[in-house]
Amino acid sequence: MLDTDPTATVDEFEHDLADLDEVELPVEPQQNGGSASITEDEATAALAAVLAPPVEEPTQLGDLEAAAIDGLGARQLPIPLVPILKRKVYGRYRSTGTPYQVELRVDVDGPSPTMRISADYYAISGATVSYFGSMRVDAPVVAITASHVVVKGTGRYTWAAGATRVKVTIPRVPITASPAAATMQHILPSGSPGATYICRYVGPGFRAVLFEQDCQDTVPDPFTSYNTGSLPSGGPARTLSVTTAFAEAGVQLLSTGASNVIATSEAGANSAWSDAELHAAMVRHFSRWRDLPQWAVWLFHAKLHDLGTGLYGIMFDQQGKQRQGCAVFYAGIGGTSVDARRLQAYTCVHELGHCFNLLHSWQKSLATPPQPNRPASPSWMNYPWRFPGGAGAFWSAFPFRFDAPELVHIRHGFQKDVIMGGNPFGTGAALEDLESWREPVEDRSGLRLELEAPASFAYGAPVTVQVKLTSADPRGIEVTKHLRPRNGNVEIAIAQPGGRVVEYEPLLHHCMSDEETIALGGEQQSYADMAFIHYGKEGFYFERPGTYRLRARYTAPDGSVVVSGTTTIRVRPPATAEDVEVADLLFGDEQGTLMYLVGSDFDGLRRGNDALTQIWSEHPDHPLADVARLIQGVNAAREFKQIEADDTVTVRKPDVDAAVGLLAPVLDVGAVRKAAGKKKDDLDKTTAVARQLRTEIAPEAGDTIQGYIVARRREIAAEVGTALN
Amino acid sequence: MATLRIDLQGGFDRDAAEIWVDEERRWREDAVTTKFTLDLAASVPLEVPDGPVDVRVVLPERGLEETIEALVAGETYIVARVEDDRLVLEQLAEAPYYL
Repeated sequence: MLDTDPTATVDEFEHDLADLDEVELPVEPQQNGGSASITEDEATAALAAVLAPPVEEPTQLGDLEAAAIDGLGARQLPIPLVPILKRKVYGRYRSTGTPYQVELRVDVDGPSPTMRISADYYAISGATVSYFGSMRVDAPVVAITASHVVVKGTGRYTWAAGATRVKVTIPRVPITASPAAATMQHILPSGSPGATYICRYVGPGFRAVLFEQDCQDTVPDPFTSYNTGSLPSGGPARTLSVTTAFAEAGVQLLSTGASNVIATSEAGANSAWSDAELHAAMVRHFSRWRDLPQWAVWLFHAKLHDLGTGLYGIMFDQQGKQRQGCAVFYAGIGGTSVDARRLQAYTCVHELGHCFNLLHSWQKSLATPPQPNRPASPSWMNYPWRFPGGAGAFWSAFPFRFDAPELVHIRHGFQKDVIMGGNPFGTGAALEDLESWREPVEDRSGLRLELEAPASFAYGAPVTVQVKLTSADPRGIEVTKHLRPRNGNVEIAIAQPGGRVVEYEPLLHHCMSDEETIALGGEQQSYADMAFIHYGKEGFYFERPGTYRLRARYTAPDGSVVVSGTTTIRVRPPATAEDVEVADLLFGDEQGTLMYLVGSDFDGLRRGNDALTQIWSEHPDHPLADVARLIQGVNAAREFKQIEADDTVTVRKPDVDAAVGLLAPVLDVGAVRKAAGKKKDDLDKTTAVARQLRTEIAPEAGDTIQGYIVARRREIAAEVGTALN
Repeated sequence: MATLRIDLQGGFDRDAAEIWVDEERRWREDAVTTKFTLDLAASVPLEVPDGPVDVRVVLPERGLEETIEALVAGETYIVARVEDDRLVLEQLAEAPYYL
């Protein structure tokens, strides 16, 4: 590996688009006599055909502004406006030149976008190309204008990159034009430009993988395709092959063109395959097999495994460079009925999913590092018979897709975590863990990050933590003003009592610009914000009594990453029967969502609202009753718009009496009115009330709810600041 | 006679494991380990008479055991797994499969 940094240097990596040669895949020379027959262009065209809708639908107005069209009154002359349809901007891009090349993946505007960009960097030396490292931007700011797509954010790198901020700019072109090249600009902590790469469009797939299928001589009719509309399912009807199933995930499977029929005798005297026999068959017959990390995978349609007919498939390759081959067994899944074809489609894609280092849905916590299990995920990687409600429920819910975190891994996982022959199975199959957030080797950020929280929380009480930045640098260090996970600049990892480590994921990300900053180090040396981390995308994060260890990581506007020490909190077990009853009422996904949103009228959350009402009406003196009152009191103060089934909009006006009745035991309503009354417009009222909630802490609020009020002060102030005034 | 299939699934890690049917030890193996990719450690088919039987799975070195009364009729399926340091046994209506 070169000892320089592909993100830092400015001039060396710049190339004029006119100098670009044709893009070529780094395909290794042919092994074992197979014949690769498909070209990149052909495969790209095939994939584009798969991904493209039958008729290109206008999704943007192109160069025309919506206001301009709206302004065309009926009496205007009928100007024949034809919107210029623009290409969606997504897929894989690649730079050329030396000493580094970049393969860039842009995933913000295409099918099932994960709203990320990522890249692999290669060091070019003479005639050799070496993998250098990978980068991913998890929460970019995306701007799509009539002329350009611009993606900005701070990347995570597999090395200590110097210029961590990235700006990718791609012109939007008419659908009749060739896709435009992407300009990838790295930005140094000082704000000055780092390396720039001009990356030509390669294709719509985020990954390209060589794919070879071989078949045992006793399997007469291996799987080719299945129409997902043949039986009830959880997704749209379409015809899926293995290749198109992966194309939907953003992976371009390129046939090597080689195909072998393998004799049953290779399975030994018992005619059933052991893992060792399967590995030997792969080495012998897979034309692309090498004991190296490479984007190449082998699927073997076999008859029977040693473990019997109950084994439908296996990713057997767990020696040497793992995950290069898998097999499916027709003794269990054979046949030509629609049920059999559905099972074959599922089994083939499932096993190949393992080759991409995906674990079973209910086993994600066994990965290194672990991530939350998702036993109810209707994904290729779940087991139908383990799905809640059983196999019938699974097939009815199954859309024949990978779930969202799996898509992120496949498309944007760091290369060694995904590539066949890379990290061993299960390693790197998840993202971060608590211990991996090491202190930087060198930290000149001038910032200190602290995570503070009460030593313990009552069972069920909303858990909030204070995120605090400090600097004594007299020059003043710019820091982001909103220090919360939902703003994308703070991450919080939680080590739960059972040892599982999860990263808190907010239900919603706020697209708030990180340009709102304050300077620390001069007059003001520290700044703190309160973060609600009780409920998020993975449900309740503090569901069990016990000790939790927390750690935070902050990414500064200049790309510096500051890590906090570890903070320990304890969730106390319920002490009384009433504690248990109230907790039972509070722990539910609808209640958690209401807690996150600080109330809602949405009919899909009706049972959650009923439970909250039951808490404050039947347990009025319980400390958690105030949580229920606050949520429903704030919501009562809110004007709630709801779109009905017939697309009409109903508006429920604020119910001030109900709001005051619920909030009076929790907040000093008079103080709220006083703070809001001094201001004229709604925004000023909200700001004044939020400030009052933050600085004075509602005097009526008990310990159970103070942190929650401060963490959600803006949402609360936005409703009560105007309604109660 | 019928076939009772007992699948030892997740949570086994180089464990000695025994399967007892109506107080008779019918199977024992050392170093039983769950295959990570399958969530399966072993699949044990036993011939037993039709009707109710007590099936006991024992991990002697870990001091764990659990018993289930299974109603055997034709092909019968029981799965065992180790969760939170305890054995969990369950009879399934249909054959479990692995991939």
